[in-house]
Amino acid sequence: MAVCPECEAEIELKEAIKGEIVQCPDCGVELEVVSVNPVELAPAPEEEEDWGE
Amino acid sequence: MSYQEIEDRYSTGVYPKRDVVIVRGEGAALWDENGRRYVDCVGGHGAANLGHCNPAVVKAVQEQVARLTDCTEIFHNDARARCLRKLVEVLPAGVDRIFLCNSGTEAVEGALKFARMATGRQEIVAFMRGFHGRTMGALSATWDPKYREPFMPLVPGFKHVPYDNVEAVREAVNDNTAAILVEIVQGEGGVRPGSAEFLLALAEISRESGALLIVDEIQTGFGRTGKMFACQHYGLTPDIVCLAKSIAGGLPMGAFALGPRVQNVIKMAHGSTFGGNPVACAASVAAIQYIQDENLPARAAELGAEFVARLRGIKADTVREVRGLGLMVGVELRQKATPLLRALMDRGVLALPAGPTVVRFLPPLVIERSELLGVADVVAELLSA
Repeated sequence: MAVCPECEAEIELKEAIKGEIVQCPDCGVELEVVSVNPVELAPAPEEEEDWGE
Repeated sequence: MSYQEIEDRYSTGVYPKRDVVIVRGEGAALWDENGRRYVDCVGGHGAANLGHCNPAVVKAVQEQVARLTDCTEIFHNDARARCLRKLVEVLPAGVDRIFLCNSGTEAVEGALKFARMATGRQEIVAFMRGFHGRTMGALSATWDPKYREPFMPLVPGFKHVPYDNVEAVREAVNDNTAAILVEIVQGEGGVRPGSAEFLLALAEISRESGALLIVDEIQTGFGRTGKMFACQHYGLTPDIVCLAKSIAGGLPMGAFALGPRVQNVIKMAHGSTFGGNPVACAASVAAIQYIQDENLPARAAELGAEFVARLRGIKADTVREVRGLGLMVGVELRQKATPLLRALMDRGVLALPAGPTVVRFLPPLVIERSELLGVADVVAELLSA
């Protein structure tokens, strides 16, 4: 179980990989797995293009 | 100046555009200004279920535009009457009064207004990761903070609860809840199908509480998920259904449809200048008839299952999950989606994201099987490289 550094929500991650990107299900912020033992998350680098709806 | 430069100079800059100028389409293929062909798995964000320049839609539009282009709803109109009858023919039984508008966000906006008008209540329960549009009411129901925050304060009375969590809904609904607003498959939120248990519980909770159940079928409707409407997978009859995208074969049109629990409609409480436009209505009749004649929902179910199976066979650590319903398919990655989207475009495949890590495929339902499976092979090749 990891913790969102933005909103402190608990995030379940199965077999986390360093560098993996996840989205916090509570606050929506994009996070990067910066270490795996224990799992630590940090805000992910910004992407310029989004191309969303 | 090139077309690209003109658009970059004279548009607002709110869209991060891709480095391509699309000038022509046919079926599931698009061509750029240099004549390069692409397989379209963007599908106009779900507006192109019938394929680009579908001949039946083209014919209907050409005939109607030469006959009557505008007719507001203060008059009766033949094209609109045919459209209403056709929509009622395919909607869930009992959902048989329709307001015609011009887009999905307008459909949601109207549905929210009618829910408040019919119930005399104020609150709306919506879902985390939900996407319903960008006008102020629809945006208030949309969850992603990046869409909401620049426009605060939004409409009061909206709550967002976790998707697929019945208990959270029970806790959020009270005697001031006008409606629960839900997507059967969350689209922009990551291609996440709701469970049958969850969706059927929403109907039960809304009935027990006196709230209405609004189902947003804007992306899932018109055959996309393997049924005409996704709620029909579960025998779910919503109180209000929101429609748009492929409703008129690619032309701008939206609608919301009301079931028997929606009463107390006040004359003149809502309206639209362009809503029920005869050209859009003629296109809609032709589009729905084509979907029925070609049995596109069954085609979506069959091709979608094959496509998902092929994608699930990809052996790559970067894939977290492949999920979807019919031809609404998402590949969730352990990394950002944009690099794969860019690589796909280089290989002649256009797809779109659904949140930061999901690559979404919404091909026209007329796509050839070999072309679709070829897309899966390209994805496999890129992810295995």
